[in-house]
Amino acid sequence: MALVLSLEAAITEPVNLVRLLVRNGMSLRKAHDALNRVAQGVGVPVELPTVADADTLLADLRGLGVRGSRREPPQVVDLKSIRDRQRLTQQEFAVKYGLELATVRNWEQDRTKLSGPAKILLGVIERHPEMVEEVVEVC
Amino acid sequence: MAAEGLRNMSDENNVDIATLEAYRYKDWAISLTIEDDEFFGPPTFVFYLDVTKNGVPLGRLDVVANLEVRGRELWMLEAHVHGLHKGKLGREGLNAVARAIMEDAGAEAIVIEGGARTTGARPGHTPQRFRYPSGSGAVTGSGDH
Repeated sequence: MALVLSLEAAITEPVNLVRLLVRNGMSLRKAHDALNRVAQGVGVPVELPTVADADTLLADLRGLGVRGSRREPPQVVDLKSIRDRQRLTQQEFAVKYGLELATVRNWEQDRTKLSGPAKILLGVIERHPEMVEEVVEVC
Repeated sequence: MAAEGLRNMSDENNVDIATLEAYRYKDWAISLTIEDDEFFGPPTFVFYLDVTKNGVPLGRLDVVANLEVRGRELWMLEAHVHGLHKGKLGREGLNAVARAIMEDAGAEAIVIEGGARTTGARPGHTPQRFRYPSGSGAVTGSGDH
């Protein structure tokens, strides 16, 4: 499970935070490092490979003064509905966001499975289209 | 001594504190248990100390730190501690704890560099280095690091 850890309150049992991270599959060194960085107020991305129950883990983290924010690509992305809400044809959508028309068609018609990064890109286009436009704009 | 303790520390990557042992100083008995360790890069340890005074258990002190041997000093880097409150230990108890760790390591001094504070008035701030016994500063090998 991918998480970003951040300081929520005083960590009164720092060693138990390290133990919790290790129990969930993190190496001791990385857990120790994560503790130090979280204590400095840094948001620390971590990968915990052996989480049995996400809700329990998040509650345990909270009990130790740490907020765990889950990270994963959007599970369901409906490209056609994004495009329809922006009132764009496939051609216009491709041009506006610097994509190949064939790519847009393949994604929308489910001929190509959307990768994680593609889902994230479409998520950004849905919520903050101006950001993508700014990135692909060439004077 | 039931085990080699920290005595096999010929360099910073050869820290061995796999002990379960009681160290006694006056009224105090300290048992030190290594719970977890990792030796890639600077050795990282989780260990705890069970503290007894006059036969009465006072509680447990949990520690996570990177351990390095520098000359005859044991350095505990980015150390975090919780559990038994120092007010309950008092100066004498703290000394007993430090001596137990030193004895286990076969070290002549212990230097603690705390990790970023997780509680208190200045969380995120790195506390000042602490040395026990304080003062001498003469036992660190000059060419080790």
